[in-house]
Amino acid sequence: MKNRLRELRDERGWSQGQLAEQLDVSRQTINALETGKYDPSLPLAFRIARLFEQPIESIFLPDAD
Amino acid sequence: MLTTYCQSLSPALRRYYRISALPCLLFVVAVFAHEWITRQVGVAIALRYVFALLPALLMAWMFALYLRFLRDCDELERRIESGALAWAAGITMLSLMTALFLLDAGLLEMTAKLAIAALAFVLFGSYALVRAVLHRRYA
Repeated sequence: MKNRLRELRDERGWSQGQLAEQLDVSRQTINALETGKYDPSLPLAFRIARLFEQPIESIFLPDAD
Repeated sequence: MLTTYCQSLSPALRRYYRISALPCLLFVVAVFAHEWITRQVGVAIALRYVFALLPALLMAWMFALYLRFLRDCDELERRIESGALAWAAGITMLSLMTALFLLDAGLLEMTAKLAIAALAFVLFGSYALVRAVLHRRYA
């Protein structure tokens, strides 16, 4: 699954640490999400969508099969 | 360098390292005290019991803190920890069964104390190794 997390974070000028703090996760989790090494759980995906005020499907994009 | 490392840790892991420092230190002291007491002649049985069971009590304290960390950590950390625990349990079980059958067949000779120490080494060693590999994978 691809995501626009880095793009959205860069638009707001936040560091990974600042985003991690707002989402109450570790910086490692943000890095793993941004690099596509880890897909978030549904509750975390909802928290991310709420923080960026965008629907989940516009942040997380399925891989083209 | 240590400050940078500490800042890279999650709040839950930082807190866990901070609060488990005291029981870890007391555990090391208790193990050395136990070793010293067992080598002394004429020590009361009750005192031997105290120093034999004290490390286990401190381990229980550390285990309780670890369970609290598992509850507080985020989902990626929990995935790493559960992966490391599952691998460590599997490797330890495999080692235990192998050693058991080798002992039973008379192909391996080992004292009970050494067998338990080796088991602990395999358990903690495999947990630490797999945990490091998983942290590296998600870094």
